[in-house]
Amino acid sequence: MERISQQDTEALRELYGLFGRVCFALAYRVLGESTAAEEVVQDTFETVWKKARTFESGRGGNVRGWVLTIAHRKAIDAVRKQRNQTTSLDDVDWALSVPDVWADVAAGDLQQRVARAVSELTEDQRRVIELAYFDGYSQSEIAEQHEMPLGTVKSRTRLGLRKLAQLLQDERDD
Amino acid sequence: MSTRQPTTDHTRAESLLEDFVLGTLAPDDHTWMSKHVSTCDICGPEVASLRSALQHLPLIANDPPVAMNSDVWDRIEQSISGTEPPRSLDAARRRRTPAALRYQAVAAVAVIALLLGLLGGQLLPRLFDEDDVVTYQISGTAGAFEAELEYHEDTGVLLLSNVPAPSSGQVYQAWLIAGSSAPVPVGVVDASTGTLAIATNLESWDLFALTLEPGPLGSTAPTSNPVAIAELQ
Repeated sequence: MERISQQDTEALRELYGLFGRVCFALAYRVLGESTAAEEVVQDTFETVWKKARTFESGRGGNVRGWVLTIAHRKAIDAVRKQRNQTTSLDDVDWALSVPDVWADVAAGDLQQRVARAVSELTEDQRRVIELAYFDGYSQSEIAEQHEMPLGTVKSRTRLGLRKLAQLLQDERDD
Repeated sequence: MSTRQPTTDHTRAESLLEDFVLGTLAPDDHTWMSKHVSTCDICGPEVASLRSALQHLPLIANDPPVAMNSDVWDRIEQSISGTEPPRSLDAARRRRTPAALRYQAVAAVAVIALLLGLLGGQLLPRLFDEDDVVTYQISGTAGAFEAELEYHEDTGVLLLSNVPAPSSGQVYQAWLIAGSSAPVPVGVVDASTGTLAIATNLESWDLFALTLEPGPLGSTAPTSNPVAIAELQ
């Protein structure tokens, strides 16, 4: 990231090589269409290029989380614009403070661990998290579409995410 | 010792927390929540914990059925080196106009034609030059502002042109606004050509605005009042 902040194009290319495909997969999952997903990927790495200076790995910054958060936010903004819904600000600085607890884990192994953890959520918890994270629906939109009390949606989301965080922490500690 | 203390707005924050973590809050609420989280001893750690789970979710997005185009990196490289044509135009050329957009464009033409008939040709902010191009009147907010704004319905491109050159170190930045929502940045005018092309569905927007921002990249939110606006509806 330091090299990118010093305008090293090759460094950005290396980062693109590491995370470009997963950004595309994430954007495609949200948008369902390859051209729009490619635009999100392009937008993401242009943003990384512009904001690299704000990234400080010395305080435990999470590069992968940061890049994927940018991609996710842009994809959600795009899909919500398609539905004429308001979008939140492009604020991804928080990811700089979330430590990368998987720095020493191979990507393939990590994917299996995450999939395993997600499979241990209840169907209800998994569904509301997917609707929010991958489809960009707000809690109230989910409640309305599925005729559920808003409180039920919120509690399933919160409990699901807490459980997921705990499962992934347990996996790491094993 | 932590400097963050629970605040009296905590009840509101509790109701917004899930949407905040998932990025589905309206802009005003998001801004409020960001400030609250930074000062609340309860919400801060909770948000961090929930986000630590979220950061892994991209890994379970299945491999898409199509591969990413091999030229995406080329486009990124050209963009950051300033040699790529405006991406919104490029995307508009590649993207087929969806049937829904064509339908909306035809419907908009029909409604406007009806209005012209009902008003007996009274001057409207929108005039037709050609069948598929709608011209919008740009008005300066502090005196005259010479520029042209057209919407090309066949390609879904809003084209701003003939924008005067800004002062050194500044750029003209365009924003689209829907209702009372916060302005959404849609691009910086190319100072050398005085143009900006925006691929968009105009049905979604009520107002177009232009501000002067620090160059070369502009701002994430307007830092000054608009120098020019155009009503889109």
